[in-house]
Amino acid sequence: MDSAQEGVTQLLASWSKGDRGALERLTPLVYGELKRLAGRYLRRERPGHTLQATALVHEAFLRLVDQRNVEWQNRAHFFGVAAQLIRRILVDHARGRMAAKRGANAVKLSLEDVVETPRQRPLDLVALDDALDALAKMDPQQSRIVELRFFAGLSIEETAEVLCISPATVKRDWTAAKAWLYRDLSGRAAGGA
Amino acid sequence: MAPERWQKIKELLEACLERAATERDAWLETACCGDAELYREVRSLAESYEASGDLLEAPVLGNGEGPEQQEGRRVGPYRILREIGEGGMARVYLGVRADDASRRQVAIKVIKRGMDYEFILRRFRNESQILASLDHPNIARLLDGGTTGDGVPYFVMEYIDGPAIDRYCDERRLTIRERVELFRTVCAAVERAHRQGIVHRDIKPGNILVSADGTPKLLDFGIAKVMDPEGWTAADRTLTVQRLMTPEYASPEQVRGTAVSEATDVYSLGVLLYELLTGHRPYRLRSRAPHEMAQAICEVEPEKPSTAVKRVEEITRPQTGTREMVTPAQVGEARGMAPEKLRRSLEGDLDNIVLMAMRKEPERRYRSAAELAEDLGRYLEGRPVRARRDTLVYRTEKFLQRHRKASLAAVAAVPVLAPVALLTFFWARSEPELLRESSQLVRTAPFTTFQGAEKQPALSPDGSKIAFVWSGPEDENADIYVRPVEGGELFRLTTDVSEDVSPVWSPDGSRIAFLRTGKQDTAVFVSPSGGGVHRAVTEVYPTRVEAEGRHIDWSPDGRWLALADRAAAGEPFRIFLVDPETGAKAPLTEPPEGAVGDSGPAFSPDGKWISFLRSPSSGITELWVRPVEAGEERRVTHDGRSIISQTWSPDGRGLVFSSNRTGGFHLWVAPLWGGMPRRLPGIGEGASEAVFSRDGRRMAYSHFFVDANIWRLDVAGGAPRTAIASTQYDSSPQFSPDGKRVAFRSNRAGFHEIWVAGADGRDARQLTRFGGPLTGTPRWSPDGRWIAFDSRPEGQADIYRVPAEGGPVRRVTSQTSEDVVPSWSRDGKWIYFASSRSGEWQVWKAPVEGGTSVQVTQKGGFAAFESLDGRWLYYARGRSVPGVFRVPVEGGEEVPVVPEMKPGYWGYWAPARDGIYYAAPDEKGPGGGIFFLRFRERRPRRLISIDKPFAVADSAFALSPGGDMILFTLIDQRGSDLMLAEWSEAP
Repeated sequence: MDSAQEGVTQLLASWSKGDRGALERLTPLVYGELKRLAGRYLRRERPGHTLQATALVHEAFLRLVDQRNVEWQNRAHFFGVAAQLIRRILVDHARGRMAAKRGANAVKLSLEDVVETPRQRPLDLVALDDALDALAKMDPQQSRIVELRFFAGLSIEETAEVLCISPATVKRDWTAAKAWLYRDLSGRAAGGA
Repeated sequence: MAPERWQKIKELLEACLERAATERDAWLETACCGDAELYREVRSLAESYEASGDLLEAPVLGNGEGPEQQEGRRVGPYRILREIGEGGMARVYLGVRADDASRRQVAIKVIKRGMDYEFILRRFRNESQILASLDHPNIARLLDGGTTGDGVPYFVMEYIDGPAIDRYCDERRLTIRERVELFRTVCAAVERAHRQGIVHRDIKPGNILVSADGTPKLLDFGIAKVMDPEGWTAADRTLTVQRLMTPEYASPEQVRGTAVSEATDVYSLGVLLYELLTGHRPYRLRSRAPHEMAQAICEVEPEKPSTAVKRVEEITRPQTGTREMVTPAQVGEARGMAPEKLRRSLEGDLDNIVLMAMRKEPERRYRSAAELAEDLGRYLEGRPVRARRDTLVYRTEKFLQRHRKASLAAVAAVPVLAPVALLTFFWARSEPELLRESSQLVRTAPFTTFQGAEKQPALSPDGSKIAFVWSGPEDENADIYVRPVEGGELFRLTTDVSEDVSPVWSPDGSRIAFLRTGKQDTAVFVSPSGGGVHRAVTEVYPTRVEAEGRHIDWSPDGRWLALADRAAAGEPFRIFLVDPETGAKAPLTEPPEGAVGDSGPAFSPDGKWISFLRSPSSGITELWVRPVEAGEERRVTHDGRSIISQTWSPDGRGLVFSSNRTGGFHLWVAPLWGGMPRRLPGIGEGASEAVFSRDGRRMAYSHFFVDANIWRLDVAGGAPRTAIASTQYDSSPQFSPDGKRVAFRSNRAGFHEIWVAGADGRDARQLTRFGGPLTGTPRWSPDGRWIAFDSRPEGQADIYRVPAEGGPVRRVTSQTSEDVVPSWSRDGKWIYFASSRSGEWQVWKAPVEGGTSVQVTQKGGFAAFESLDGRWLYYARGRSVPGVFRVPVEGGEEVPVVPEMKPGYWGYWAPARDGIYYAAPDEKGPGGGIFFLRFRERRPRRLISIDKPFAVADSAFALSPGGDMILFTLIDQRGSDLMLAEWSEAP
């Protein structure tokens, strides 16, 4: 086990015991690994083969956490953090681009090329981010489900596992979240809110 | 929108979308009962859902593994036609061999990213010859395997077009007889593979498909082994089991990570048969939390199939995630039988056969799949089956094994006379006698009450003396002392300036071994027990000796010392056996690599077993046991908490250990032969390091204590003085809204409970009686009628409330997360609390009258209070993070209030009208000060200095409603004493 692995494994453990400082020390480690992996995937990339969030998160987990020594809850926590980080990375990037369009200095992020590469996606990530915040106020679990599924690419079952709820609950919340977000996003697009 | 409203909307939306589009409006109108707004909202969402299409369905960062991208893609020499399934480890596609003119369809299993590819390929190469040789009409053949261009492993198998066996049986409404016959075919296929030395390891309905002509085919034979990294088997299996298998079908040995054999498949076949016969799962799991599953699988006896069919139960289909109600009528219908008739046809033989296949101990199941099939054959032919009910016969045999000389005649005769009584008796015999009601704890009394900490008592073999560790009246270095049990002269065995700890007597009582840690080295020493020359036996690796608990044990035959040691820093600690004469050392236990390791060994009274503590990571310790000779290591606890020390119960049937599994540290007894740990009755909180005399009538233990008291400070000035005090732990004061009473937490009656007293500390009255779990943080409701608090009666912390005048306790939260430190909104409608449910500590609020909780803080929050005017919410950032912040109650920007508030002092502040009072420790020395920071001023004012420590990490501060008085907790004393407990008859 290398030292980064030891560090992350222990931080996860302390965090699940309520040490919030552990999360603050953990975040940069996971963030760094996600960025590094993203870069590696890109260099290997060939046409028709794109970076996958699921693979990214799983691989980061395998690399950063000592598999023989990890408690199940820690794994769930890890996926939770990774999903939030990917969301933050992408949304920050999207905001940066918006700022650039308005003539301000673009926020340079090293994940830039990751976001440029995948297929064209009409979805406005900044609007989605705001909508998710609004959704979280009403129903935090739903917002986390969207984070895990959309940003970390987890399946229904994996999401259920991470949140310790049943797949049926994930499905129901997912349906409601989609409906709500679609309506909210259409409203934002139309009303410019 | 209010959370309850949204909950309601969600439910209606789900139900609405299940209906045909044409029926929705009408249905919804009825369902909304005239609530037009509700109707509009759900309708609008249903429309949005229909319009949303694939919004968010594909993950944001590409989805190259999605089915649409894969279509037409090549995997080795195969071309993918479409995706047909997805599991935890792999996606399965339907494909054809591109160069095969016959266009025979195959199933291609492509391993997901994130798996250990190299390992899988290596394993596959080793196994492929054997797997490819498996040729049986009921086993889907493994045809090929390799890696894709990207290096991703895949396997190619015969493609079976048909439903899973459970669906097939239900769709065709097969009778019990037909199901048993189909199942026997499956057994025959499994038996064939076993004869070639292949164990399936993952038998479940989804791996048995039935083709159109009714032929069952087993999929994935041997695949589980190829995918299962052996390195994990010794470590925590949870992750592996969770990812590799469907936990519902995993055997106890798979969950424990011990040897997998043919018997493992027999077990899973038993689960499969259970489900085919009853339509229910053998275990009712409350959650998918792995430790709960593990516990059910390893410890809970499944209900008899004939009982299960009477159940109404909601079950989740693993493939689809859909929930279904299973009712007796429905189960009967799918089997072409009335429910009662079905029950009777299962009762007896089929009950016994299923439960025999599913026995916890592999060696007590059918010896092979063939034997299981044969017994089912006997059932079908109406002949007597081999399977018997477990209870009487098994327990009688067990009883006879233990008491060979006990009269055979009595055992033979008693069942006729009083079978029920006998059964109860057998049950009781398998339990440690410490837990029997007949063993009466006569008294517990202090043995030493010196200054400082006395710890690690060791009883001499004749029970007359106790050796222990003490730092002396001046609190210098630790030495070994010996004192007669009946009282008398204290004898100091060691005087060295080193730290001498963990004494243990030789079985003949002539010598005492102990650990000595000097400036550099740690070594085991042996000394004559009456004093004399200390002889070093062997050096051991330092560090762990400072921990609580006992570090050495001496085997009953006198030949070995057992202790924890390791060769180098990077290795886990393991238990070694050391020859006390020569110092020769041999490793005994095998902790997983990367673990903190093993410690605290204890020999069983017969000397054949050794129990020890194993710590997979810091802060978590579990009990393990293994034979002293070669044999399997077995885990006894599954708590995920801390265990300080452990020893054997005098009868050798259980382990007595000190654990915080329900809050404070208590002594627990874990039966070795199944059953949950139970608290050793009559012993209070803070007990650890228990040790028994040989006759079992006496137990010595250490009792660590903290005397914390509630102090009072008049804001106007003057010295602080005690307000509420006992010799125990009193803390968490809170004034009633009228300022006349104070609620607080105290363990003065044995356990931490909520108490109420007058503001002057008089007339203290106990309000709760949980009798064990840590119960604390009382908070008055604004009308003074209720007190909210947190407690952990089921192991997880939740918020409760109780009438301030006394009465039944009501539960406010019930999630599996930790919910602690409540506080009321000023309007009395909400209870704020800190919860870990989102994965980090945040402030949440729950409606007092029930309903969904809402997250309040986003950046971390703990211990919240609304301001007196109800406009602001104040909260600490976290349990061990600095800072107090506030936000408007209506929501808005967070503002720092006391950003420098020390970590761990989340319970040492109270908002006032024009500022905030708080406590902070001094940079040096044990004490600190109480401060007032006026809003809009930068510098806090020190009200008073205190030379005693605060109770860090506790809610320990209160401001009176009039703003004139502060209550706060101080630790007046802490230490550890030795105690003796005695039983009326040997436990």
